[in-house]
Amino acid sequence: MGIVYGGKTLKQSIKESDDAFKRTGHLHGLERLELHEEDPAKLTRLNWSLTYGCINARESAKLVAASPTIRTFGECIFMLLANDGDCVTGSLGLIAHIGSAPKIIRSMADLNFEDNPGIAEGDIFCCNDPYYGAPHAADNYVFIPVFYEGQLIAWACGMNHIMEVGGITAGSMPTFTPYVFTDGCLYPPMKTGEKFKTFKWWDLFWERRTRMAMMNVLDDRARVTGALMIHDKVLEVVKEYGVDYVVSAMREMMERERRRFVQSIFTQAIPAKFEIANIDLSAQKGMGGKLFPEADKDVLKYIPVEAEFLPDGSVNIDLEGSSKEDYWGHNVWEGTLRWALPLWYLPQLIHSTCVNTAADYEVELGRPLGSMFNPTNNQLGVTFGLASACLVARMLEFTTSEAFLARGSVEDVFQMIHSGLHVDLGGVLEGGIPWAYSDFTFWGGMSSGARPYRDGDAASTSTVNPQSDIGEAEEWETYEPPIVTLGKNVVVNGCAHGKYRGGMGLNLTQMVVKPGRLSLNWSTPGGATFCSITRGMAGGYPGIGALMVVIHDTNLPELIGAGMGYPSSYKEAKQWIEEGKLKAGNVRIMGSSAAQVPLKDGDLVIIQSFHESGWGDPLDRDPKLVIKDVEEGWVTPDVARDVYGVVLRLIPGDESVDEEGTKNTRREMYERRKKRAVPAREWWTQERDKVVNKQFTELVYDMYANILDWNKSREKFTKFWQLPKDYEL
Amino acid sequence: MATEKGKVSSKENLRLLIEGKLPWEQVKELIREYPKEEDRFWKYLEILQEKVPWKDKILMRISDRLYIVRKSDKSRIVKCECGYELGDYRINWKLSCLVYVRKTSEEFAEVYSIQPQFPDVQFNEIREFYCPGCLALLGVEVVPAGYPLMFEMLPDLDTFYREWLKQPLEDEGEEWYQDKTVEQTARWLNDG
Amino acid sequence: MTTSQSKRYQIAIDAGGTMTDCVLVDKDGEIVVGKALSNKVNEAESYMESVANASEYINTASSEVHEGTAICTYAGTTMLNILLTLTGQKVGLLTTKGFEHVLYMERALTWLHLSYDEQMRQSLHEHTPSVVDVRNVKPVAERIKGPSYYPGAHIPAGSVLVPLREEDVRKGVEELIDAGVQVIGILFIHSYVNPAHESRAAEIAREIIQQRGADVRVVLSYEVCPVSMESQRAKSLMVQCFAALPAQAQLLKVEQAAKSDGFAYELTTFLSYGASVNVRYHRMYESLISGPAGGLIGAQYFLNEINNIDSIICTDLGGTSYDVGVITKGLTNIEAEPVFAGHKMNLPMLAIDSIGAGTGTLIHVDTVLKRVELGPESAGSMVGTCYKYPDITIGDLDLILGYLNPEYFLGGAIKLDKERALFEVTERLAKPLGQDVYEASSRVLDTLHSKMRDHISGTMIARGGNINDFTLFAYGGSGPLHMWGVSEGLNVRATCTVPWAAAFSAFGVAAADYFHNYQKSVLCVLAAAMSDDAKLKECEALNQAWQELEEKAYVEMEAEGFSRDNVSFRYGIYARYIGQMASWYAPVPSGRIGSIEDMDKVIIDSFEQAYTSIYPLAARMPESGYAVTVAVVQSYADKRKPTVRIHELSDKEPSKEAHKGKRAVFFEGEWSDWDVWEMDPLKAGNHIIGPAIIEHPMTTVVIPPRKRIEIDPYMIMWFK
Repeated sequence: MGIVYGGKTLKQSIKESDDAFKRTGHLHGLERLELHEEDPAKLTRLNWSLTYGCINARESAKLVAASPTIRTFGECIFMLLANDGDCVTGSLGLIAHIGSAPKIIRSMADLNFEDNPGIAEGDIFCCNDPYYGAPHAADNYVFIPVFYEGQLIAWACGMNHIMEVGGITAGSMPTFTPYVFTDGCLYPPMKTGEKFKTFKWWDLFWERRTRMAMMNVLDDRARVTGALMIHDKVLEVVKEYGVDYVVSAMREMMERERRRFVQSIFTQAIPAKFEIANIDLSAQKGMGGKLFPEADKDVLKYIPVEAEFLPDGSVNIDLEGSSKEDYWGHNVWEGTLRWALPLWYLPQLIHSTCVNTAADYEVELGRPLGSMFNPTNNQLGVTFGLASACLVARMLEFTTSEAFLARGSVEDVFQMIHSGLHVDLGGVLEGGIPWAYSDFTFWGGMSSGARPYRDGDAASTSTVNPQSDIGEAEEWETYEPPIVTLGKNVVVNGCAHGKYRGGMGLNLTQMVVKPGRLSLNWSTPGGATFCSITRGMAGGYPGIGALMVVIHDTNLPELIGAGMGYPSSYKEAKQWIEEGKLKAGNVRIMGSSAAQVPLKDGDLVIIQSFHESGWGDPLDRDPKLVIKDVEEGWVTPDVARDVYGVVLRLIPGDESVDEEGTKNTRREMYERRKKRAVPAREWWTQERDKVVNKQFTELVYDMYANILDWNKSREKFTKFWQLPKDYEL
Repeated sequence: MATEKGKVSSKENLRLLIEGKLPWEQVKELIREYPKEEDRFWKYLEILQEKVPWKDKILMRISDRLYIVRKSDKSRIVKCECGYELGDYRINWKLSCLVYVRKTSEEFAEVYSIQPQFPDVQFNEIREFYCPGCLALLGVEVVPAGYPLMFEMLPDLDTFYREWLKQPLEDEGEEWYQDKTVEQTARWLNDG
Repeated sequence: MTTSQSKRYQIAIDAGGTMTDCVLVDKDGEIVVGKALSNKVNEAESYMESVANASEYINTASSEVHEGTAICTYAGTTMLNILLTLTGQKVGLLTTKGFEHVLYMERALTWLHLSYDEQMRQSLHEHTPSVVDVRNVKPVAERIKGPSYYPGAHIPAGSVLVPLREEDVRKGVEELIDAGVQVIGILFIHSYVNPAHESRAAEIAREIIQQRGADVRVVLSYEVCPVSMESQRAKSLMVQCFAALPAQAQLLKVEQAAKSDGFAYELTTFLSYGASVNVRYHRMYESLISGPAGGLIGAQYFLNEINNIDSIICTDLGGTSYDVGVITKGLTNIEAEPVFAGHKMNLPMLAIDSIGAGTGTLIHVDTVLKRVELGPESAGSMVGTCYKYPDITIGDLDLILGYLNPEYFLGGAIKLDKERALFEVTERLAKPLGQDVYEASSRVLDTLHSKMRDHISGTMIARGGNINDFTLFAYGGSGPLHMWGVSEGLNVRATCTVPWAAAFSAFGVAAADYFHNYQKSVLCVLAAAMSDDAKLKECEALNQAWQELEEKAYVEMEAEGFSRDNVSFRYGIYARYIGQMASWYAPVPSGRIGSIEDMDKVIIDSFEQAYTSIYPLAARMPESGYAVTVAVVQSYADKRKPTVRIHELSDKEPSKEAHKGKRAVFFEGEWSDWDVWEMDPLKAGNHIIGPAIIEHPMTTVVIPPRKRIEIDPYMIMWFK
């Protein structure tokens, strides 16, 4: 006799759910939503009670924690899971985790936790291991089973991103991590408490295995606190509605949301096939050294997505052709990929009184074995797997938007960045105090891309957390004593152009003061040196990756002493250097990642976030929009002229568009296009010769070699270029 | 209750939306509308058909200026707003464009305004696809040299009209949902 | 000196955008209500009218009332309306170089106004329009070191890292004066630990302003809001510059008028959480929602304490703003970093949020696009085209649809021109839309009502309550008039109003305890390992802080007419477990700690009780020790609250003389005759069956077909 409501074992009840869906196409086989039909108001009331229960849990738990990522940013989520693990509803916050939490419950079932260590009332379980469903070491889960009269009716779950994971380097996401052993303290599902109280050893674990013991212990308290509040809420609700009603209601809420997803596809999208890809440089050359020679190399990380909206409203995602599994942090397990899907379907296709996992059942994932999305070696690094998964979500959002445009849901076309850029700091202060920290500014908030009817906004969205928030410099500095913010602002000209431009990127300029021993780790998965995505929308330019610059050995202290002030943006710093005002021993452009960069007094650290995608042909941009940008200082007059072909009369207080000049400039620009371009066939013929003769730069060569190792992607590549059957790289 | 005129999803408002002139407050109401009204697609087609200077029947809009239309000879082709025709919609329309490829930092800097914050030239080229008719920029790809052109969207038109809109196209057929791009490159090779 | 205890009256004012309400309470707690149209240009006039109007009911001259008045509290929505209708001063900002976009980026908090499901749709995210033009923000190179999580391990907080670059200040000020700003705010990073740079910049600014003979105020962020977090502090600073300064000027005029009419003390107003302050208070932005706060406190007093209805959505609909506040299980929550009107700022206030919507709200009709938009501007006391305003408003619609009686506005003191309203609405709304004038008008009301419903659910989300457990309480001059529309489809437990709804916020101000709130930051660390002596030493800091605050209280209350023996104190602390960042408020039994036993009782027990009232036991961490961060003293003075009578129930059938006849009303597409009742003759126990209208000189209750009003012994009118 199992613990689950109705006497089944956890395994059985999960299998039943899956079978019922396969058999009927409805979750739990619900062809009718009886409770909804009988008394919709009653079910809505219950729905809100449960959802508010999660919201309240999050709002209260936030304050228990110490790290501002939870307290200010709310980088956490609290969820109610059905007894089979599916997320029924949750608070807002890090919503992606509604996709991964169920996988962890499923792992616990597969591992027969019911028998050993046993699942009983008051137990507390924790996990953060991607192999068992979690995205990475930084995202830590607490699960508390909800029992009613001895039977499991639900799970209460709390999750948050911690600031220090005890990895090979300090912070929450080690830049260089070829193996799980360097990822930080990963742990499989385990029982960490009984009788609603955490075991002592669990606190000790955090104290010994991470660099920020106190913060991590408090964060764990916060997770347990919120989960317990949901646990109590469910029992309170059962008292009011009766246990049968609550259990069936949770199932109907699942099926209802599944229908909502399919309904949205049917009414806003079209059945079609889409092609898109993401390419990024994994720069590990020089990092592996003697210790990890197998990881000491640069690789182009390649993620092609073929998305198909099928006639029945379900979605098929094929990742065939992706890079192979490797000695890097970019290996992705299924839970991590499922983690990312809500980042696509919640904002675009589901608008509801609960965030739940139902849509997950309508998405088929093609994860080729041996690729980074389905590794054969479960000891490879996983820290950034979620970032690659984010990019898949980003590409789905992109193609879904194209489907919206085709269907006429023009208003719903929307794009935003799906991958943050990340700075980890760690060292020992002059006082001898060790410390470590993650700067979350640009995970918390970014700009948004252009739409077919308006420009993107600056500092307005965050994929990972709909409650976007870039925090406050005054608060962050409290945790990063040697870091002094000299600029937190919008990047002038910092957008991808188009008929409508992307939202301006954001800038952080920081000065290092009395660092003691301090090193910086930097990573921007799916970013720097590449576009955030390989193609633009409708003639707009695709958004571009982030920029990280460290300027070493400056004379900044002298400049400041002499009352000259400081540069507050990259543009200005560059200008000061060119003018010889700012002396710089070494200007280091970091690319997509850098590990253990030592920082000294007076060093300047400058980060510019992603610049967002444009939409449509820049020469179609309304000059009125261009002049507004110039007046408000977002775009400079030279860009207005060179990119948009708009000539302005800039009489202070009386700026206006030079209609005639604009007409002429734009005519000339069309002429130049004509002069420069060649017919596609001509281009194809020339390019083909290069491909036939294998004239590729080294890393690109390797990337195509990988493509040829798979069937479908080989077919595509060789057929497009009409290459001989035996073409190999 | 509300008259067609009064509704936020009126044809008039949709036209304004497409022209980028619908005030943000109304756009938000449209975004909030759930589910979308039944006849949205048909209204959309009407507006588009009124917008273009030519008569061929629009079956679907696939980009800012590109449409799949049915010609009198029953062929389904991609047509630019300006009237230029880019061939069978099952063949990647980029193969009918004028192509300009940016390869150097200088060329990149013309369209990405902050150096060095743009794609690394040693791995990337910027491909721009212009309409041979009106020279409008129809698409941009930023990929390594040698990367096959991306076929942005191949719609399953027959399924869409028959099963989703419940108004089948009269010229349905097996062949319509197939990527024929490589047949074109094959022809190019053979005509050598 | 005669202390205020010998005085007979209390004056409580709620100055709304449209009406200025006066509640006069005498020694026995009997109340009379006065009203006057608000005079935005000179509030002293509408204040005097309103007091005079109230005095008439007791056949007394306003001067006699003023002479006999102990406490005069002037609350209102002046400041709030300036913010909502974006009609404040032209503001410039000097800020640390590199932070010029702080108000434009506003921390990426673009979702504050959205509900749970809409926050997820990031395509709906948008910035709240800044009250400062980004071109009027000027950079100044300077930097000061902030505090550290590792105390003592780095450069001390407040150290100068980059000296103030005075030429930047000069350049900025010159440019701002050229740009014609009326007030310059100064916000430098970490100024709350060391204000030196802000002060120096202010000196320079004032010099230049003087040299140029310009009339420009200078406001410093550390004076207004000396707490961490630059974005929230900037918001507070901007509210002070944009809205609070003009509002304060009005308050001083009012005090002048009251004094010259015989009032002996200083005028006080209401802070956003119900404490009283002198109108010279230098952080006047903290009284942003003084009026609505009154309403919330009134609801807590009347519906919760007296009628024990524990969860209430308090909705105040006036002519200009719609204020929604929440009482959950009897508690009004005070938030330290509230979200208000789309801004997240540092400002302790009750859980209330407002939008620009009311009977004075303008109706914009786009004749080209055939589209209607509401507000945010308001006709305020000029009502609409039916009275003195050039553009059509919601009030015009209420009138032509038959809801309002043109002959009975303010009891007939003001005649509304129905013909004119009908003509204007036809010309400007109906014709452009190509619709029937009455059809079009009721459609616009639908829009207003759904906008108000959205605001309610948005507020509920932000406060995390389940709307089904709440009672909707409608008040404010227009509350009862639109109660039917707002409550429709809103799944609340019940809906009600009261006969004196029109002046309910003023009633709340009268019903509120009279107290001042004083706080002082302390650091009193009680680590587990410390010896008892060491702990007691730590507690000394707390004892001193409490005593300091008591002295401060005595002095201020004296000026308001309360001798020491009439002042009593309550004490509190903000505390946390060592290592935590947030602190929690805990009321404590005494304001002195003399022994370890005291410490356990006063600090530990009180904190644990407050903490575990919010969190499950698993969240406790006594082993890590405690830190007290703030000492709190509240000084109270007795005052007579309005008495609430319980009435005998009479029959369901209202008495004949209450019936005023019938009136044609347009509802759901057709005209029909509705019963019209007079409010005052109605009795507890009466049922008024819809379709009907209840009229009162100061408000109107609309009861559609199939609805009714039931009056209970407390005269609460239940809408069913």
